Amino acid sequence: MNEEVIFSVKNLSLYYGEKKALNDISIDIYKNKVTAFIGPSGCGKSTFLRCFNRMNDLIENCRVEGEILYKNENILKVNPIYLRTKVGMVFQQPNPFPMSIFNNVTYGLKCQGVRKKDELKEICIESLTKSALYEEVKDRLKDNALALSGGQQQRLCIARCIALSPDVILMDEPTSALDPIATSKIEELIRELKKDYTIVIVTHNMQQATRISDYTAFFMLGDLVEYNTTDEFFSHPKDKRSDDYISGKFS
Amino acid sequence: MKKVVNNSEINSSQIMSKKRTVKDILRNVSTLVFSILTLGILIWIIIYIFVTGAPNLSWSFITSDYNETSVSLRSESDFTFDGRDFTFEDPNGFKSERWGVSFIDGKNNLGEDVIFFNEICENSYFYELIDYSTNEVFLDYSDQYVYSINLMLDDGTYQIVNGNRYSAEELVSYLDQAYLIDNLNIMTVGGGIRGSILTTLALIGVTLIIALPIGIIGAIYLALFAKKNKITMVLRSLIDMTSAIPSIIFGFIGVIIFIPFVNSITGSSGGSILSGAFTLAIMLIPTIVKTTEESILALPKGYMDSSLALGASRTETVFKVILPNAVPGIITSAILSIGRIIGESAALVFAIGASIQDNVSLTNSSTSLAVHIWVLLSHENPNYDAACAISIIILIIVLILSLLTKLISYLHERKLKRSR
Amino acid sequence: MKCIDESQILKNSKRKSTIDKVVGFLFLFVTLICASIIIFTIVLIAYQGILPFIKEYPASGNQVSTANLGIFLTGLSWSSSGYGAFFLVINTLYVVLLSAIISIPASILTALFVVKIAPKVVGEIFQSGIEMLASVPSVIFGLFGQGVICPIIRDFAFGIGLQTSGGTSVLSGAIVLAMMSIPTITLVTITSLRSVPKTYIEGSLALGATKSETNFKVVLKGATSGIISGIILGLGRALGEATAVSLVIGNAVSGPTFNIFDIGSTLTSIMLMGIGESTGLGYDIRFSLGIMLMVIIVLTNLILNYVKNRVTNPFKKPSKILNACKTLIIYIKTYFKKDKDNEESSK
Repeated sequence: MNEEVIFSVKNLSLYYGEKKALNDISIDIYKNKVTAFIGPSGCGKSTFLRCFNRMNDLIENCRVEGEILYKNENILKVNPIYLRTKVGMVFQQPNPFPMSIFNNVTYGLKCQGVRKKDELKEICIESLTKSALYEEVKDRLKDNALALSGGQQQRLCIARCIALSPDVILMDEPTSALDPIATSKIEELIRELKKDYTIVIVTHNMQQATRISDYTAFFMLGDLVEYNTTDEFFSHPKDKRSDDYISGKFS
Repeated sequence: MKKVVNNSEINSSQIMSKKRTVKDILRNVSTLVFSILTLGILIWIIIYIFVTGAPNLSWSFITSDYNETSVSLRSESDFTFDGRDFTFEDPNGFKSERWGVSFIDGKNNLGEDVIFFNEICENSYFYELIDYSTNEVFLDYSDQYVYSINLMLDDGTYQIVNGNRYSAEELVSYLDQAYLIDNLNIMTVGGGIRGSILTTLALIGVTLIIALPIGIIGAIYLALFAKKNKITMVLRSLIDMTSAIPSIIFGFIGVIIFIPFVNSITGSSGGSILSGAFTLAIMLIPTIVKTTEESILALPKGYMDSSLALGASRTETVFKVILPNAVPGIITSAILSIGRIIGESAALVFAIGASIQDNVSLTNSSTSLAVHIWVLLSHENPNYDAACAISIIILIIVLILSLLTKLISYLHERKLKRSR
Repeated sequence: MKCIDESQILKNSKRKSTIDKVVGFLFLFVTLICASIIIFTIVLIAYQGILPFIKEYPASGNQVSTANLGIFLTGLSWSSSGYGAFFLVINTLYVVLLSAIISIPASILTALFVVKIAPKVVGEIFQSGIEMLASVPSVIFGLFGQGVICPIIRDFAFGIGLQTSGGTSVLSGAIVLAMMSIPTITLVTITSLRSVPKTYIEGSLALGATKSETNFKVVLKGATSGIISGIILGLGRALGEATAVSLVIGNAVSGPTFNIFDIGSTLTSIMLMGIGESTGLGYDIRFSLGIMLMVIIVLTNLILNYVKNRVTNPFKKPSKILNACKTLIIYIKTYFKKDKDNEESSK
């Protein structure tokens, strides 16, 4: 594996108060690949994902040991606001702000002090095009984003992320609140996006992982059980627990 | 001993025995009676206040001064009748054909019997009377009544007619015998509430300017910034507990702290609207914190997270996403505060004072509408008419405010529903 | 795609982090101010309330120059020659108790009617009416009390051969306070009745209880803690109410009186009495009454909260202090009982 490593996690443990939620995890995330985190619910995969852009800082009593290197720099040393512009995140529930579509997409840019109208417009159109939404909404950029359908809202959230031109996009079960058609559109979009971005996606849907990801990490009870290329992981799981999970003995 | 009930013994007549049915009916009727009583209190209050107050409620009542102002007038020294004729347009009132003026009996806003001017003919001699203080002709008789009049009669005697002892008819009969008015004392109708209305408005404005920013910031901190630890819990319960303090105690705080504070800054003496507003502000801050915090917590949880994930700071999130969406809640808390400011009396009696004023200024003592009512009622002779008239105004404002809050929450809910 | 300058973002981010810290600190400061209101209030009232007992005030005639704490705590008359507030405490509690006797049953039954018995539309109309009543300012209740209730009481007392001072009496005060606390208690009770789980009701109905039996025996039991919270709020409002009471109760300066047609007074009505005229000690002694009022409010709250905890949580062990109080009460009871027994045996 001679891919370029963008995130390198070393012996990471995470505690909620006294409870250990993640146990000594080491993993490398490769650039311009889709990495899927799978595992039964409550295994810590979402918690782990939120470590990459330090969203866990916001949770009380949350303590992290070990280190995550982002481009060979410890993320604890990186300014969190800067980190979050470089490492975007899409949440489980589509949650656009109750403002116009245009304002939603340009929110992050405006926060970075971009004020020029034509510049904002250009980036807005570009990000909407990239997130395969532009054709559907080009006539109503001034409309409230809450009027969009669930799938459209989620793609808008992706567009909002892309507008900041991040290196990595973290996705926390982005399709679990959507219907199958909207899901397939998002999956298609993810395959498109990996040309430009590194994507880390949490999913509890194994089929989805096989369809879109290049690498798969299997978590259970706070442990990283197995990490391999997706093909290898699903065809020849090395661990007994992975095998059981893939064959549906538990979920 | 436990009685074993044989199943076959329970027949239907026993299950719904007469006693049980009667009890059922009694229970239901008792609830009905008491709820009608409760609602009856409201209806009774409204009827009493409207019936007593409505006749007294007029535009002049709202716009006129509380204190009466008097003017002394006299005829010119070389005054003689020139034999002019008068035409009265209004058939009512007791007419003095000699002077071209008609009077009518009435009550001033304090409820005393007085004699009002009913009509003054265009060419009346009354338009030639001279003001003692300015030595100019006095023309504006609107809303004035006769307090006293000193007349030189044809038979050479000197007659003093007091407005509250003589009727309009008697006044006119003396007037028709008089050849000169030596001193006419007229008064504006007092007892108006203009000053109290202005005070109430000023109180609302200043109090909200002080309390809203502080309350909203407190709410933002508690809802979004504070860590969920013991200290926050203590802060929150302290703020909650503040609302259990009776308002009269806050009035004491006004006396102890804010009156000296305002006096030392503005050089005024005694209570003032500013000291009252400070007092009301500390009284209302807990409520504002509470309602605003609730409206912020009712927003979808994802706003903060997703905004932060886009590289915004907390401050930016608060001002760009959270606050614009919490506006309905903030407006609601402002409206609730206005309602409490209008209704508050005990605290203001201490923090501003209980002297009714017409010249309202921020650094002077005056009364709000509610305190005005209290002052009217704690007199030896309570003036129910005026008190009820003011109550009508207060009740209508309170009703409008409560309808407004309902409208806002309805609109907000509809908007949220549509967005889902 | 156009990109924002990396170094620009980094600079922005650092600035934003600083702003966040500063703003967070400022907001914390403002919140501390909000939370300290109550502490300041208590400390100031306590300080100013103690002053009349230690400071020398200018006095003339038979006025006292310093209030006496012993007289204050036990005295039965209130005048410039001696400020005794004990009778005020008794009278305040008596008036509020009378008002509670009226308001609590009325509120609970009204709430029950609104939530469970009335048809939906009627219930909603009643509820809006009660909400409206809750927003009526207290001074209007005072006006209504003085203009309507007092004459009624006067005529009623006259009818049964009693003289009243124009109808201003303890009873009028209690009625006005009850009218003011009814909407508060009712609204809280309505909320708690609404939150009684449906399963309770269905369970009771399935056991063959009638609807009204279910309402009175199951629904009310299920809502007890909410009802007590409502009572705490309502009694708190009644205890702290000043202007309305002062207009109808007659402002007696000695007591205590338990005759409901006699004029009485409460702590708050005395606080408002002669406010424009008095200075010096006669004014400052009000702050001492303020301490007393707050102590009474805190104590009633504690007692009612204790009752609430016992009712909702019968298995919870009472804390040490409460245990001590209980032992004390039992001790006092047995002591008095012994006295009684002695008396009886001596007879």
